[in-house]
Amino acid sequence: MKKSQMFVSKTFIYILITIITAGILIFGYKGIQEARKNSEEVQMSLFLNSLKKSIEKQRVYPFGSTDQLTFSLPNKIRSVCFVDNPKNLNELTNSELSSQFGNYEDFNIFFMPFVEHIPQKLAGFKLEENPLCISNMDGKVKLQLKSLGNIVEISASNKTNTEADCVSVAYNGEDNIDIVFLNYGYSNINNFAGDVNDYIVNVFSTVEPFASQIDKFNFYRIDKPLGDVCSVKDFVLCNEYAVKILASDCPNDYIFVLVDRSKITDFVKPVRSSAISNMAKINTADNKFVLMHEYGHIIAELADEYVDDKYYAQFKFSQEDYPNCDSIPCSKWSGIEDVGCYKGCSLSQYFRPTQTSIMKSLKSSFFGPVNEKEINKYLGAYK
Amino acid sequence: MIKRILPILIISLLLLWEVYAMPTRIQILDLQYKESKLSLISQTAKIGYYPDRKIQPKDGYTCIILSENDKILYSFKFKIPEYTFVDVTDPAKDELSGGIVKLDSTEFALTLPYFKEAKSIILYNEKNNEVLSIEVPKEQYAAKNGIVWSLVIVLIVLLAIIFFLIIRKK
Repeated sequence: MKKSQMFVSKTFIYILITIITAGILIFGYKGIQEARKNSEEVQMSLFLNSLKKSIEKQRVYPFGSTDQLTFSLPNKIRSVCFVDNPKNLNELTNSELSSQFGNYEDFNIFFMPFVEHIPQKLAGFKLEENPLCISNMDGKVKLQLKSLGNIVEISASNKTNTEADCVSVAYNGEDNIDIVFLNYGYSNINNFAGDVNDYIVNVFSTVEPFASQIDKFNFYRIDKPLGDVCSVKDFVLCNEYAVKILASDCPNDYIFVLVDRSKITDFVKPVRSSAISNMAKINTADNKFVLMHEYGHIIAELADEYVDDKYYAQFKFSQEDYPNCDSIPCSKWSGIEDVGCYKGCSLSQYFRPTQTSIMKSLKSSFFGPVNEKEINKYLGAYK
Repeated sequence: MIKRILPILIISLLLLWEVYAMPTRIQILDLQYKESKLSLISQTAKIGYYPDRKIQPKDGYTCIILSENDKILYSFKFKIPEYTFVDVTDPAKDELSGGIVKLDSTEFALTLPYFKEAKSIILYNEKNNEVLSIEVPKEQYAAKNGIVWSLVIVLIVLLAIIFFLIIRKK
């Protein structure tokens, strides 16, 4: 090949590499921005729904009942302003808000910076001071809701910032299944808030039978870290007493401890996600659906559908104790449609109802008819 | 005069009554299960939340909170967490492996509601034999945010006004 030809081809390769790199950077940046925007939109909708349900709940409480609540908001929002529509607005409080209210008279909740966020409308509340603007402190707003008969008065909470807050991330009503997320190993608490939203929106809300019954769940998070209460070995060990003391700051039918691990660190030293009693410890470097797998263990006592003879042979594992493992001819799930009798369920001698469910592999994002039926038995306890 | 003021004062008194929804007073037991024996390590009481326990195991241990006159105030079933499920994820294939780890001894905690009238907490094993009895420590239960104090103050003011009005009438 001539020198000039080599030069041209080399230049062409460099240009191509530059274009590909630029393309990856631009699309990657756009993708991240898009994902961030979507996550913020989801967080906003969770906030509004939680606030709406909390107002509905407070309304039925006796006259004068108060509740101090902390809600999760995207960090980008500086403050949230409530406006009591029928009353005259005190324009001195916030002139920017007054002009905004002029453009959106039918709305009563505004988010600062106003130009970036669409105002919202919510019924059933009144204000002592109009308008009421509350600052967003580290992704949280603290409100006091007071029942005044058929209406709820909103005011700023008098709770101090030093208290271990129970942040209401997605509230759907009273007498629901309450799930609280705790954090371990996070250097930035905003990442914890982001992970919690991710698990709620992209895991809990997408996997059946939870997705279609998501209104039976309330989700909370506690930002105060677990500290030296836990330690990371092959799996995460926590002092359950200390965990439960902290978790009791929120309603806590089930507790999820999110353990922040980078994928690289985890590749070098893998740490197992685990489940025990009403608590699951989730390695955030694992596929997100591992949370569903662990929850299957704790809510419905489902067995692993993968086979690990070496592990399971050490224990008196019997299919009789689990609803999703059986011996031939798999009579436990006879009569249920779309199931079979597939070899391997914790031990290779047992059989499972589906080829691949979330209890076998994280490639799957469904539990399968037998596991769903079993989980539904437990969810049925909640109306 | 008294007739006019009294209803207003009574209404004010009712309005001042702030009923707090949740959280409530709870107690948390730190328990150890070792060599088939259950023992209490420590316990604490605080304001917080306890699980609603609408989902309970069919069989297992039973926890009962008894009052001074041996009335059952609260009861539920639970399992001793002797086993922990541990799952290793293969990051390349998203396949799972692992299994169960049996713990030689386990420390676990139970979060329970607190009852002022509670005398003891009794734990029974699967065969319904009593395995542990825990005395509930008595403590001064201060109502949240001084509800009691605000009521006392209002009552004193109410009495003072009535007394003042009676003297003035005389």
